[in-house]
Amino acid sequence: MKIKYSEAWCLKMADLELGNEVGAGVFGLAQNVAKDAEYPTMHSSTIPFGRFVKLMRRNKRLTIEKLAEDADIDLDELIEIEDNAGHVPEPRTVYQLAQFFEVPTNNLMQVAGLSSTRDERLVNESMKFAARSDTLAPLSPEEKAALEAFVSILGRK
Amino acid sequence: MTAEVSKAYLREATTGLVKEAEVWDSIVEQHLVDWETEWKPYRDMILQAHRAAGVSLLKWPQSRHWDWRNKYQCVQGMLSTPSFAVMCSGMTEGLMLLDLSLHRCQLPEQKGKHLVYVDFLEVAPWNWKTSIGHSPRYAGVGSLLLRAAIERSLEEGFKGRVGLHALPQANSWYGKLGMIDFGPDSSKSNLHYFEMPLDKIDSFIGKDG
Repeated sequence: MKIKYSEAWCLKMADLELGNEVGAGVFGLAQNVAKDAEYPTMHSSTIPFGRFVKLMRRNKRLTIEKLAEDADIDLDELIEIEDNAGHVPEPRTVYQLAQFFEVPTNNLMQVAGLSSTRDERLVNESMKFAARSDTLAPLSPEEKAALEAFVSILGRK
Repeated sequence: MTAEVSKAYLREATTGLVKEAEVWDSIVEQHLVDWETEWKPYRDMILQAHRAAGVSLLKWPQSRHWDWRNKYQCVQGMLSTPSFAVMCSGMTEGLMLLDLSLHRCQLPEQKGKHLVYVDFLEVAPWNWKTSIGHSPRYAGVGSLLLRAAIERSLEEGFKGRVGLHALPQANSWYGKLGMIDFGPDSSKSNLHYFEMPLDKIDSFIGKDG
């Protein structure tokens, strides 16, 4: 069947609908509770996720600001992801990063500790990756300059 | 079965931009694949974010474990259970299943008459409004689907009569549309049953100006 939706009607309704949930249909409370139990508690460490994001960014020669802009994510959160192992990333951010880096959302979600499924192989590989990617290489001139500049700022009274 | 597609529009919530959309008068495999590959992972992320933030289970999205492939397979091919989908930029943004035979009106002035009952209506999880951890992508998907239910009711000769059990977080929305709230229905997990009175149908679909 063909329905004639006018643009004006659609937009009037969209503006009215903004901020409202619209779902309808019966759900089983007991079934929900049972299935909720299948969701494991968040992984305690998201170190592999932060390392992955940082290395992918560096591999693409992007600054944090540029990655945040290109992937349409919040700069503050990107900094948290790369540098705070305890940070729980927002779902949308992981989704955007998966799209940007062209990796499967499901897998990246799991590495980020946001998945209900737990693939042991992926968990093990993530930890190996985190261990191997902790480089002992000396700082590049740019890193050294940035570090010294920051130390200088930290030293200001 | 070939689905017929109607042109529609959505509002991109973050930018306010107008986006062309499509309303399909049947759920097809592509919609179910989107549900499996895009909706489910995103929904899982939202649920994990709720768990991490210690949100009470009562405030989690109530449709969080709906299985659209299973729902659709149960009614596929049945003439009395039409389905609809909304798409935008090649992605499924909303799904709906209707029932034309099992329910009757409860409003006194049309009691016992046929109506279109909205069995299930859900928007993609990235369009959920009250979930934490993200900003909704599009607004208007629910309205396009409800309009489709009313249009189907008109086509069936039911004069636009529709009824539905709203998810608790959506009670205020259906009240805002002028649907009559019959209160909690003990036979349906205490969900509120809503019905659209005849005098609100024209104003909803925009016929009275």
